[in-house]
Amino acid sequence: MPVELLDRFNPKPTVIPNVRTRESIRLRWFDEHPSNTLSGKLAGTSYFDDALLANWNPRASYAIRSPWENIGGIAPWFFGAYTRDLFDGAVSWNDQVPVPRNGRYHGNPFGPPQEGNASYVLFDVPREETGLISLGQLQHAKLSELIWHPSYAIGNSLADPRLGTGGFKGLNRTSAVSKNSAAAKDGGFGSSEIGWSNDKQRGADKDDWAATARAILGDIPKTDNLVYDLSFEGNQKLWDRFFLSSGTPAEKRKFLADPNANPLPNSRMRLAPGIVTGEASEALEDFHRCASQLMVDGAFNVNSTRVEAWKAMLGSTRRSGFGSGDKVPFPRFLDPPGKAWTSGDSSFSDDVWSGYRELTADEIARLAESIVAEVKSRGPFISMADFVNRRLAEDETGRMGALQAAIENAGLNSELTAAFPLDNYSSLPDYKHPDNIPDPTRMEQTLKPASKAWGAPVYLTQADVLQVLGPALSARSDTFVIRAYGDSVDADGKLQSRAWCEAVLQRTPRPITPDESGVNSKLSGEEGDFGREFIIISFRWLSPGEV
Amino acid sequence: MKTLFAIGILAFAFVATASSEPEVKNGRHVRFMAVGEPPPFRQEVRDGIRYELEPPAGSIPPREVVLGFGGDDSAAVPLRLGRISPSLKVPAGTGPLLLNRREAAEGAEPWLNLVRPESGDFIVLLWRDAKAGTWEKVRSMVLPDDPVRRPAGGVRIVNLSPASVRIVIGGEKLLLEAGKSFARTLPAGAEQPFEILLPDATGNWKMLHSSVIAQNPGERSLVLVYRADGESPRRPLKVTVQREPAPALPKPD
Repeated sequence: MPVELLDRFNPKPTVIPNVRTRESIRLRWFDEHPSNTLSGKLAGTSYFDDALLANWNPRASYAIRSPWENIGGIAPWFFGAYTRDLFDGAVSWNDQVPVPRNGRYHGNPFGPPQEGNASYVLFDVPREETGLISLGQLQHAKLSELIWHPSYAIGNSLADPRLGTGGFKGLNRTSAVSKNSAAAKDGGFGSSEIGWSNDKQRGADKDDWAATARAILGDIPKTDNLVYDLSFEGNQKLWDRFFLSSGTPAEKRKFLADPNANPLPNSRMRLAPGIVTGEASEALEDFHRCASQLMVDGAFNVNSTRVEAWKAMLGSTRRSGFGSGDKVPFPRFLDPPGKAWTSGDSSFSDDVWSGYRELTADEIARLAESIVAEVKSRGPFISMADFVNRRLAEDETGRMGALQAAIENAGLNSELTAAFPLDNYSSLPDYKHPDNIPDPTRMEQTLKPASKAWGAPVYLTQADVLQVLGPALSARSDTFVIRAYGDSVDADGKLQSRAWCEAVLQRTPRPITPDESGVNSKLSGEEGDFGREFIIISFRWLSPGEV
Repeated sequence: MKTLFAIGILAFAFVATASSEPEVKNGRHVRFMAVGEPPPFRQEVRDGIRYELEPPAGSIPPREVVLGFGGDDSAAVPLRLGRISPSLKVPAGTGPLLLNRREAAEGAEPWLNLVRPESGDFIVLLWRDAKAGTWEKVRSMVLPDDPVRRPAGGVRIVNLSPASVRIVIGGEKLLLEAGKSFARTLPAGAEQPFEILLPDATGNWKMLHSSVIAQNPGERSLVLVYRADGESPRRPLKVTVQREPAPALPKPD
């Protein structure tokens, strides 16, 4: 191996280092080099195929091996979202030359630098101008410091591949289960799951590796499961218990003064009946009471099975001024640096990673039909979380939520899937690992998404749709049309006259018998509790021809 | 089980001195540069130790070749993919330049049969034949290598690939046909944007390589564009930039 002697005070190396001198950790590539994939017991399988943004959390601070990994079986023991390298030409000095763009040198998180795009924009932060107006925006939040959680947890609904044990088995739960009861007491981080080395130089005793992992995790595995379906749990907690009123206290005061002239950032928000415009309302600025003051204009029931209604709802941002005009934008970022991307555009253009997704009218129609099919198949949804989340069922509905399933069934991501395929057709084979790891292929390959590019800004996800439409969605209708019929008959029972009427009723946040807070019913759960107040929005008599 | 990793290359060679003065060489010399993609790294574990497996025959050039000049003189030189070999003295004037594998039987056909240029240092660029797909059949190009025709500050760009490419260097754009080369002089210490583009199926130029070329004072560069000849190549062509201290110009008689 050549060694270059350099001037002590003015070193100017020119000899290119041999690739065998390189050692580093990097994110897995979309297209891994053969030196890695041909190594170990899993050579020739798809275990290197991963959807990094769907099933991993590259922003995590804790990147250690969990008991639910697919492990290569020979040093350097490939596993996880980050990988070391065997000595392939693709990681040589020449192939790792960074790319200069606009005065800066660029790499590529998902491959060699020369194959990379101009920029990769993956996460957004709330803007002062708009604040947070949709729970779907929380998809960008880093909710976990653990590498094995998803990057976009909130709003998405992919089953965690660590739950599965083959086929649909294991999808009826939300946390990964240890096969060994002793390890289960340590949340799976026990020696019988983590494994141990027979070589004393690599591990002092049988529990050394597992104890180290537990210590890194602050011994939390002893009391809490750390490997669980973060998307499911997060959605379950958020989508029915919380809403975003939007607006600062100052904006809310202006809104109160004149709601029409000073709408809240979420302009669908209306004052509930009985709230006096122009008067100060502490409740509107109160975290716990705000919901009692506001109602959503035009809320849409996700249990709708009308394709035309869904088309109208999905297309509601067509004329928002954000997109190109005739298409419907679903931007993941409020201010993406790239341009709109539509099916038919190159799957390798810079806009895939820095632009935003637009749907054509045909795609909107296909998505609406696909959603209705899911609603008919899975509905009725008893809550928003029920709609957002996958079903805890060992069947197809356990893989992902209704909306994501509809997106995929409508083929809206088929081009990106073809360009960045992930082989998830079959489970990985079992093999005997030399480090006493009883099952070194526990991350269920068939539960990974079908594309490694899952999560690219133009790869449409359920959270992208919910980010736009979420504030207007509801799992029930609060507005009802009631029609009534009455007639009068004479003593012989002969019809003398009859009439039809129609009333539109609106349920309001105000309980019929409020407690001291004014938010809840005083008679909650007791006899005579009629819940929240209904008001008549409109009333009219109907002619016989309208019936 | 103790798992150690044994890399097959333990020999070290000191390839340059720390002297800031360029070396003056007497006589004329030849160097070799083999370009191509290395085969995938393969390993096996024996007794708890990982060993690099020998690459398949024909997937790398011969590790050492013996030069012959049509007479009794001969000299051995190592060949490594992507690395310019040490220089070897060659006789004055034109004549045969025969390369034989170190392990070749006596009387065997030479691995490569060339004609020496009339004068000056030269470099032999080597790559494997595309149709044969093996280093058993090699192709070559001979280029001047002496400090007069490749002086300090110079950059020579050679297209060894079968396709024409577009070169952008500094503010200059030009088409470089297959098998052709050109040279430019660049100021020392400045980064020169350097791009290579290749036409795609629709005829549009697509970026193949984007970097900068930067040279210290007294250095020169050799840029080679070559066909990606490995197993399942990621891209059709590859690029290597070899920067080195330029030898001193010969003293005038």
